[in-house]
Amino acid sequence: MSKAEISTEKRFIEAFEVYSDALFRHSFFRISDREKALDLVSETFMKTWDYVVKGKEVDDFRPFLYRVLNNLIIDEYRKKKAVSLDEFLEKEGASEGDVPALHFNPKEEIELHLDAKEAIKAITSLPEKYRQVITMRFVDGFSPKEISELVEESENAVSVRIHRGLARLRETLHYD
Amino acid sequence: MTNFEKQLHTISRLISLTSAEKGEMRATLKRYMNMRPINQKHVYNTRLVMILFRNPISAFLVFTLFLGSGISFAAEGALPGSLLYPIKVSVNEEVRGALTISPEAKAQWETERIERRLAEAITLSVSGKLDVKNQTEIKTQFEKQVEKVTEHVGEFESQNPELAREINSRFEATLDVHEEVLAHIRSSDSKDSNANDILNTLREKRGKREKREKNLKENATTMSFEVPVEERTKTAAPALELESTEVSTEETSLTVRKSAAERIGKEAKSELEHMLKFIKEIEKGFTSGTVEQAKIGLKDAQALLKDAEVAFEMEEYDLAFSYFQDILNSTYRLQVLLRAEQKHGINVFSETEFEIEF
Repeated sequence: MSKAEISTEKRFIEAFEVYSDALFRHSFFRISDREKALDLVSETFMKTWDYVVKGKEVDDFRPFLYRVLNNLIIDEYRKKKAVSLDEFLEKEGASEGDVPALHFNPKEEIELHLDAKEAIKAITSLPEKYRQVITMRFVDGFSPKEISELVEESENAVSVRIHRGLARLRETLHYD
Repeated sequence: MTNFEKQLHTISRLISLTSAEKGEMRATLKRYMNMRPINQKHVYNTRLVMILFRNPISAFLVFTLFLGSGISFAAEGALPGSLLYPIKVSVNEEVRGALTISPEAKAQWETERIERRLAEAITLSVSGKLDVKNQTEIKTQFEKQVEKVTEHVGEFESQNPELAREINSRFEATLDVHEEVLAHIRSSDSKDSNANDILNTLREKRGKREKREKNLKENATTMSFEVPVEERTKTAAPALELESTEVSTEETSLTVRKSAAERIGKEAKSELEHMLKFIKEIEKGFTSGTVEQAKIGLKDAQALLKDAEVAFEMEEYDLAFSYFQDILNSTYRLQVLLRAEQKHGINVFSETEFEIEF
């Protein structure tokens, strides 16, 4: 194996260590199913590896991995729903029963005014068009500009959707 | 960010991969990367590829695996009864088996396949899908793989009896713990389990296995004296450098057994450390009863580790080897039981005492 190949492999493994948790979180909020979220993250890394194996360059793994995951999530919606994607995007998200048992990270020490379980349920119950941007903005920490590049829409459209999604969340969680 | 937005961000951090999930994902990814290395043509042994491609069926298998890796990968999670299951057992696993060269590696791989079959039986049983057809499918594969393990172990048993014993012991531990979980599912009123056939097969094997373990144990001691010096040092302890070629057979045997105990000891210590860390990390994801039982099991294993180290110091290498093997088996059992609870909500700990057999 050449030095360049070793370095690519090393960068890829580092990307797994650094981003797998964040990608899982993203996947979980988008798909509301822990097992499926795990599968999608695994598949994301496999597909990215396939790309690397072909000798193609990935300058920055983070946006690349998110783009692959986002495509897989959209495919998943298509498979899951017999209805069209547009119809699905308008439809309400996950039902109450879809929110699985949470695996809390014991390292987190937080003081919250919101009920964590309710808040997670509220995000995962948003219609997909809002859930996507809210997850990217507040779960993943992307800026509206970065989101617009990932979802290939204008920054303005993304900002409007974030604003509307937030309004829905405030309403659901009775947050003034 | 407003306070509300900050809170959303903080709450989202509560969702994370457990260390077990991340570990499993990492292992799967590494296997996949090994199967598809960068610049494949340099990594694969050309001779092996030539042999594989000489046979049209092998060529088809290799093509299917590497060119159709999407299907191949998707098939990895397939269960009996699904369309992709034949690809999993007859393509993915067979090709992987063909890529292992030594009989030792082949025996280890076939043992892993047995673990896979039994894990499938548990998954199907929990979901009430272990019908007669699926049971027959698993049983057929299982029997085939048991035969292969025996066959491969037979190939290196005389040269490397310690490793034969180690693989056989792992094989037994695999059957035992899965039998335990399946029996638990069957006894549970809430589950519609049809695991009888598989359970009976596992129990039938018990007698044969006990006899085999006894033979291997005896072999590991006697063979150490019988096998020629060159052969033993070549196969069992390749890194061993003898100072003189005139070392007596007995001394060589002692050195070989020491080396085998040392190797398995390192493995046992590392597994135990890993499990201790793991239990600390997962404490919140499991019921307190489970964690307590697991801790008791690990405490026993730690005590046994001390005994093993004393035995090793006293040059009782066979005894030390057995203790280290028991530690490995008990940590493995613990892993399987925790996985059964995490994946399927089966709490076998509630009715069994976790203990190491002395």
